[in-house]
Amino acid sequence: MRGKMRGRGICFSVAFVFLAGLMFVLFSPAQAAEPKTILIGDSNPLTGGGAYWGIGSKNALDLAMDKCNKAGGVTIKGQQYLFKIIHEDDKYKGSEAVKAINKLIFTDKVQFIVGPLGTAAVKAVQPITEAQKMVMIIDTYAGPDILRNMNYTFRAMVPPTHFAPSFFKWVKDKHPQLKTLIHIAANDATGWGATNGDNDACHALGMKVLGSEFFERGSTDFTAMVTRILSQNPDFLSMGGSPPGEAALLIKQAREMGYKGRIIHSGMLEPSQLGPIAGWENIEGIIQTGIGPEGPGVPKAMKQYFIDYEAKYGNVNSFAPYIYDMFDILVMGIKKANSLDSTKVRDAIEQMDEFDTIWGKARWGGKELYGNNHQLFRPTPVSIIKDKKLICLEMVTPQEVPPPSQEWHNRK
Amino acid sequence: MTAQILAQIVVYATVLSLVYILMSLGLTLVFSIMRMINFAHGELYMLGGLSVYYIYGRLGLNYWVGILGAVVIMFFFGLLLERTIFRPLRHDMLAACLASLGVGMMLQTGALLFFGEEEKAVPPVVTGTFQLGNVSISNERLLIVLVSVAITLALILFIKKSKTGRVLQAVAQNPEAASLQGINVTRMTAVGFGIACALAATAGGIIAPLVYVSPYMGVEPVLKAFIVVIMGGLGSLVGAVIAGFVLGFVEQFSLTMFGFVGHIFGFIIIMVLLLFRPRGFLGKDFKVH
Repeated sequence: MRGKMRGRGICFSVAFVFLAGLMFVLFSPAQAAEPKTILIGDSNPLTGGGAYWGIGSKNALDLAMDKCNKAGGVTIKGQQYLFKIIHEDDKYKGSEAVKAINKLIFTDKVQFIVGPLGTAAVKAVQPITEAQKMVMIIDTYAGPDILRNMNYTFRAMVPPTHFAPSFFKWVKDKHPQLKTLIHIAANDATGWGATNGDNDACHALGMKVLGSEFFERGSTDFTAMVTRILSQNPDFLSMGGSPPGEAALLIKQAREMGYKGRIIHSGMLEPSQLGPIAGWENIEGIIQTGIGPEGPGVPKAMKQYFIDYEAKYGNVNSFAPYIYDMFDILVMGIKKANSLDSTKVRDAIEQMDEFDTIWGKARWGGKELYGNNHQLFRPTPVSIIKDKKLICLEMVTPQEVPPPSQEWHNRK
Repeated sequence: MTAQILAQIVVYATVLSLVYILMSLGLTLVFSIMRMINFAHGELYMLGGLSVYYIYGRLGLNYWVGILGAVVIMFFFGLLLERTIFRPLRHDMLAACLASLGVGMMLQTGALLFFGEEEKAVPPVVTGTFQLGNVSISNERLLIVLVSVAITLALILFIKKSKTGRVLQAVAQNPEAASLQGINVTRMTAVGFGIACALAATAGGIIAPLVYVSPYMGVEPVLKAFIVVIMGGLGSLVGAVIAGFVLGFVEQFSLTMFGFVGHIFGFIIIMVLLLFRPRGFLGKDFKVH
């Protein structure tokens, strides 16, 4: 009897200690107070030809991350997480992007990736990121097939395929005298993508595409091209897919050689980059889709974003707003999934309803074109260079189903 | 093709040819004296552009002071390069060529580190355009035409008529014989290399306001300069002048007629020329000293 009593006493004591331990583990204040870290990898060009875009991307992502961390980060299943971004320089090249992504995934063990911004870089790293089921939010401007058959790649940049129809419709409505054009772009995937997107849109709107001209990146003499252009005398030059340095020289030489028509760029041209090379008087009136802090069309949230950016970095980078939302989108996906599992986060991003961005309301779409809803649709700015400044006139809504492609870059 | 387009092609082909000639002068001089293809020529051209950008564009001094500054800086830089890198390799042409490739890479990387990768605009020296019949040409390009012609003629006269020029010719033709005549071949080789570097810098400084300066600005022009030098005959100044005009006109015509695919015509011409005349227009047999 006495032995039985002692046995019960031991069982009771063990159960008490176990319960106490369990309660300590569950309700320990130390555990709840210790946030963990979510690592995000960023691969963008920090040196070389695309450095202006890459540095803007880096700054925008850091700005968004700081804001999120200051607000407490995210809480997943009761655990608080803060974010840390590891930036790698891919030099705007596919081979360097592969190195950067391999380091981010296998050495740094990042959980999600933002960037790259070059089409060639994205195509080079997709076999790795897709095999590793790594959610990657890219910001490429071109590459119509970049989302096809991709399960974990999302594009937060709206390509010309989608925004060009609305952009050129605005141009046609406001400037009905512009009826003929010649498109000029770099002779690479980005340039071909812009050429197809822009020319398809103009063609569908009844404008006449007189021709498409291509140049190698790094070219400095465009006089032969301008001679060809002058012989056809188009109403406007469409320069989407022309990088700022080459675009500036082209504009300068076209004006010097007597071209008097309008210049339109379906991408972003920062006046402070363009003016000193092209000549300030030559860039007045260029219509484009860049955005700055000024103009009647700038959304309120965007204005605040520019104030925050300038306060932190002391300058304005016109490319950075395109990237800023990528971080927030990822955070929204993680919150919605309430998990760090990449497949669950991917599903959560896909199922996001309309949400707010600094550009206005945005949503995911593109199923008809890409087979998945991994393409972001958000308003696109229409801006003009006036008095050396970029003035945003209006925001237009991109089209999910673009006009049929004529493959202009393959035409002889 | 209308008369206006033809006139436009001829005018701009002339400008392009003179730019090619200006860029190839230094390269030709180095080959004629040192029997070496200087792969760092594009980077020396870039440093000339950067020097003018800082002296004229940033310090606000006169443009021609900027050019003079670039010439002086690059002449002495050339002497330094010759003394430290190329003189020890003067009996090994292949090693010297490879060394020049390395020097070019170092200069480009150094420029990236010290000056940054972004394109820098050099303020225009002259503004406005000149109307030549129906053809409009910028005064900046006219200035390049005048300076290119002046420099090319001055260099040819210097080589043919001046005492130093004739000594350089003697060293280029036969260094052993020149040495037996009491010429300090080592010193004259260094001077020749210094002049070639100064010529590269002049080209960079003259062309900089027309384009922009960046660490990569020498990459494309030097390719064209190589074509001109090979086509003209390695080491021949007059050959380079002829080749510059041939390449400039062929490119301008073909690019205007066929678009960007016209670039291949320059390469086709050089291949055909080398098949039938491997020494180029005015090249001679040479031996490696």
